This record gives sequence, C-alpha cells and structure tokens, in this order.
Amino acid sequence: MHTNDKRKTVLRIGLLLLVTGLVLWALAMFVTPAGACCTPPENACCGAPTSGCFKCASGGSGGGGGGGSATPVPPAPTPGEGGGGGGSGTPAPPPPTATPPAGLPGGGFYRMSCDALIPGCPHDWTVVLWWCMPGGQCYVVQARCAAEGECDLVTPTPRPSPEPGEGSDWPCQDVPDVYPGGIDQTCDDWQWNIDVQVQIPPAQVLRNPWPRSLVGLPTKLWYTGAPNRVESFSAGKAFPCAVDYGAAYSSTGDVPACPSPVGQPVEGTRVNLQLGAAWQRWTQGAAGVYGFTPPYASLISVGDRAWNGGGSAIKGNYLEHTFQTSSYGLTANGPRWNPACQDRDCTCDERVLAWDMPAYQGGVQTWWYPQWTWKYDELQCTRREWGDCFYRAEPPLGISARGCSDGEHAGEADWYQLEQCVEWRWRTQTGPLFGCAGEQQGAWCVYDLRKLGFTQMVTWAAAQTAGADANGVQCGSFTPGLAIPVIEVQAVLEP
Amino acid sequence: MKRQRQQIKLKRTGYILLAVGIIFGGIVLAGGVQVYRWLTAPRIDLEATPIPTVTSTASPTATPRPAGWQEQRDTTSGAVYLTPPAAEEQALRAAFAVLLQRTRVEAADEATLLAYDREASSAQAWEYVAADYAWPLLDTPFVFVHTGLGPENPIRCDDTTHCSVTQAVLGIQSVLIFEPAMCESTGSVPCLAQLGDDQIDARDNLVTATFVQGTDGVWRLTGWEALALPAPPDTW
Repeated sequence: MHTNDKRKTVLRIGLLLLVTGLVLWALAMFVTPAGACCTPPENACCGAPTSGCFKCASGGSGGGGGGGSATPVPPAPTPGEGGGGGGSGTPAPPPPTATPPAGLPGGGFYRMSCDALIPGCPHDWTVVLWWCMPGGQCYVVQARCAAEGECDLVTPTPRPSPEPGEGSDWPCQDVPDVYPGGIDQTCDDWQWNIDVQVQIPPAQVLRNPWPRSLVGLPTKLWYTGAPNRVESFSAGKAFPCAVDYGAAYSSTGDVPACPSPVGQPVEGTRVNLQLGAAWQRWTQGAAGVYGFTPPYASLISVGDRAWNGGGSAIKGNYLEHTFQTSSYGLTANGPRWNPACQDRDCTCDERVLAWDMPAYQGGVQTWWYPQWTWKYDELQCTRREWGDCFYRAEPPLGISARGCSDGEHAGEADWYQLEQCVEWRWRTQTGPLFGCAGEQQGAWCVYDLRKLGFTQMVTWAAAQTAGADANGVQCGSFTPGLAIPVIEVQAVLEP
Repeated sequence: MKRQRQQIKLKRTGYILLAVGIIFGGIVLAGGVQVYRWLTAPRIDLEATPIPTVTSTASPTATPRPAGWQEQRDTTSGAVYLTPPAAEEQALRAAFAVLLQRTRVEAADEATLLAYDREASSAQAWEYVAADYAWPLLDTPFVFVHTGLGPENPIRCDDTTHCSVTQAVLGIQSVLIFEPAMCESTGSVPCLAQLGDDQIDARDNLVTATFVQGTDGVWRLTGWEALALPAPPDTW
C-alpha cells in the first residue's frame, strides 16, 4: 500500500508538471506571435544569424522619433503633370493607366502601366510598376521594357460602314489616357493644340470631434455626398474666331469674317471648338452605364490597428468608429491642435496649428465614369418672321409654311407664307459634333472604358475633410485627405 | 502510521500548492508582459509633447519663387507643390544617396560587402542630417543588402527649402551586421547574414527622405520613412 501511494503521488506530480508545462507553453504562444521567435524593431534585426531564431524588419522610420523640429515625413512625390525635377533629365512618367481596385482602401496597392519611361526599349514601351496609396498618390517602384504586344492597346472593332450621325469611339479618334483618378483627352485632328485633363475630385467628409479624436470616444464621419461631377474644357480652341455674343445681325453678310480657314460665317458655322471632359459620380438610383450598376454609392472607411479589427467600413454616408489606441507612429499628416485655443474660442480652422500629427487614414469609395463633349460658338438664327404671301398650286414641302393670314390674299387657298430668318446671333453650344458612338447623357457622350481594358466605372477613395459639430454641421474649410489624429486622455501631474 | 499519512498528505498538498503556484506565476508572468507593454506604450500627451516649429501652410505661390522652381498640382488631391531646379535636384539626390548608403547597400561579392566602412559612411551621412534631428539610423548596426534601386520619382517640395525624395529599394537579400553579439558565432565583425523569406518582412522598400535646406545651402535630413512593400503582383 505504501509503495502504491508513492507511485500514485509521483504520477500525480508528473501529471501536474505536464499540465503546467502545457499551460506555460500555451501562454508563451499567446505572448509571442506564431512563427516569430523574436520581434525585430524597425530597420533592425533580432536573434542570431546562425541560430534558428533570426529575423529582420526593413520598413519603418528607423526606430523612433528624432529630436527638435523634425518634420514628419510628408507624402511622397506624386508622378504626373510634369512633376519631375526641373530639367535635370529625370523622367517624370505619367501616372498608371489603371483603375483603383474595388473594396476597402487599405495601405496601398500595386498597379502597372505602359509608358515611355526607359529609352531604347525594343518595343518602345516600358511597363511600370507603381505603388499607389488609397488617396491616389502613386510612386514608381520598378520599370522594365515591355515584351512584344504587351502594351498594345485593345482597339475597338472597326465598323465597316459607319451610319450617318454616328460618332467615333473617342473624340477625333484619339484614344484617351485614363489613369487613377483622371483622364487626359487630346484631339490631333487640326493644327490647334486641343487637350483637356480632368481629375476626380475628392469626396467631402465632415468629422467630429475636430481636429483630434480621443481613444474611447466615437469618431463620427459624414460624407456630404458632394461633389458629384467635375467638368473641364480645353484651353486651346480649334477654328478660333472673335465673336460678339451681344451683336444681332440682320444678314449673315453683316457678320464679321473669321480668320482662315473659316472665312465668312453662314448660319450653322461653328467656331471656337473646345474639347470637354468630365467625371460623373454614380449616385443611388441613377441609371447604370453600359449595363453596369455599382453595388453601392459610397463606402466610408477608416483604418485602425490590426488588434482593433483593422478598421471600419460602412456603405452609406455616415460612419462612427471608436479607436482603442492612439495614432502614435502612424503617418504624420493629421491636424495638430492649436494650444492657443485652450484659453479662447477658436474657429475650426484656427484650432489647427499644423498638419503633422500621426493619424489614422480614412477614405470614401465612390464610383465614377468619364464623359466627353464639345463646346463651340455657332451662328444661329434667333428670330424668324413670316414673309410675303405668294401663290403656289401645291403646298410647299419640307419648309415651314402657312396660309396667308393677312393682306390681300388672306385666307385664300394656294396662297402661302414662308418663314424666314431676320436675325442671327452667335450662341455657345455644348454637345458632340457628330453624335456619340455609345451612350449619351444630355450633351455628353459616355466613354466606354471597356474598350480601354477597364470596367465601365472606376472607384475612387480620395477625400477632403472639414471639421463638424456633433450633429454633423460643418465648421471650417475642407483640407485634402482624411487623416484622424487620435490621442489618449492622460492626466498631467503638476507639482 | 498516522503521522506518516499526515506527512504524505502534507507533501501532496505542498506539491499541489507548488503546481498551482507555478501555473499562477506563469499567468502573472504572461499578463505582466502585457501590462508592462501597455504601461510602456508610447502615448501622445499634447501638453507634454513639444510643439514643433510651425511651418507655413500658405501656398508656395504666396512668395516669389526663385528661378527654376516649378509649381505643380497634385493630380488627385489638388495640393500644390514645387519641383526644384536642376542644381537643387542634383544636390538632393546626392544627399539621399549618401543617407541611403548608411542603411542599404547594393549587392556585391562578400569581401566587398564586408569591407563596408561603417565609420566613414556614418561620418559622411552625419553631414547630411539636420542638427536638431536625431536620425536613429545614423549609427545603425544593420545595413541591408539589395539588388537595385527603382526609378527616380519626381522630387516634391513644400517650399524652396523643404523637399522630399522617394525611391524604391529592391530585392533585399541579406544584411550586414555590425553588432558583435550577433556576429559572435561567425567570429568576425561585421558579418553577413542571408535572409530567408521568413526572416525579412519585405524584400522591397519605398524610402522617403525629407530634407530642409540650411542657410549654408546644404540639404539636410529631417525625416526618414521606409515603407515595406509587399511582393509585386504575379503579372509583374
């Protein structure tokens, strides 16, 4: 019996130690992420190279803040619009011809485009790899010469016999350059420089509290639903002519002549042609484009730490999110509280001292599609009158006529009056010159982006933010971005 | 006999208490780590945080620009920024190259890499760091070895004295280590360690350096950020 008791005791102790070991192992697994023997700080390594535990982290700002007035890292350069250095030969490639992906705007995404970045490529084109931020800023990461056919555009199927009035796929048959957030359309048909660019505007977002939020306090975001549209017209004009909109002419011969090749205008003459491009936002209830209807009109989102769910997103115009951690260490582009406002009432704009606070980033994803049109001056008849009565055995066909209503032959059969123009004026018109090849919305033709390899509509997540009160009433002006600095409430001990 | 049983019981109770103590200690230890992390986590206290020098947020067009500076507009945000003239761009890129060399070096044979002069690199980089900016990487004992740099991005400036340079660093494959403790097993400092896929967070970085131009005309570092990029898409 004595020996049995001892054995039992030993067994129990062994069992207890086993359980303890298991518990400690589980705790160790909980404290240390799976697969990580150690966690290296930013721009550093941990462990030993020859041991089984060695890890490095290449990203980060270097492991901590600097002293003094170190300026936080601002957004990196945005390519496009000739953003290169001032003439040192550094290529300034255009932005990628790609669509931001649908879904939540995360920390960024890759895009590829075909450009002429590397000179001397065997097939002319360079394939460029970009890293794009949710706000739309893209940075060149890599570039290589394109393989044969890799950058060939998808050309639309040629139409064997264009029907009268049918327009071309693109203005002047020039393929537009569509890139994230923008479109660039050129017309090379004539001798004049006709080019128009237009970018999708950032969504207007109101935020409360302003300018900073607190840990544990709900942060409210309202998407105002604006803007819905942006239009732009080329600065250059084709067939330029100085016209007087106020002048009325009793004869087309009285209209001042235009420079060659227009010459003497007649009714219907069009001059000062400007190419127009626009981005239209799809709103709830609006018709689809080329058979595509987006799943939602707007999606508001904010990023957060991974351990706090990684952020929130909601379809609609209002989002409320409570941060559990300060925004310490994040991108330093948020509004900094102006301490002068501790002691006095400030406007929302005055409350912002600078834009350098670490901040969580948000965005509003909306759906957009581009359109194009022409704006021009046209000599039009602006007043018509009935002319003299005349006899005709058969009624006039194809022209506006009526029976005589006054004078000697008033009311008599076969006596007619014709309508004739007695006044001409220059009028500004907007519309496609030769109709639209695809869908038309009012005076605008809708681009069929599928012919460029895109979807019918593109998503866009850039935003601009203004402060608001707790009810969502705007205060202050809009500023680019949706950066949300979050601080922790912490008592300051004073002696 | 009774006394013996009591002793056994006491021993059993002791062992059980010991085990419970170990378990409890483990929990406290693990929880303590979390509590310690929470307590030592950096916080932003507005009152305690020194307010940096206020930089003008006015449009760069508010003051006359020296020749060669060109105003650009961000295609997406609409923000206005400046691009520097050729001479300033050259100076900025040169400063960027010197600073980049302090943390990242292009791949070469092992002997060349091990001959990397850390002191000289540090001294050279020091010339390009603003006096009031404590760049943590100035004395870093880790220099990542990469296969190449990405194309140059346009330089972007807030005004004629504040600019940022961004460039990708591609194909990080190893690291030069100047930490004696970590090189102990290899027997010499520095040592070169190859990095397996599970030993490095990202092979590619997008590095942005922010500069301010001093009164002596030299561009000096005031900010540094290396973004760890995910692997390129399969179609690349």
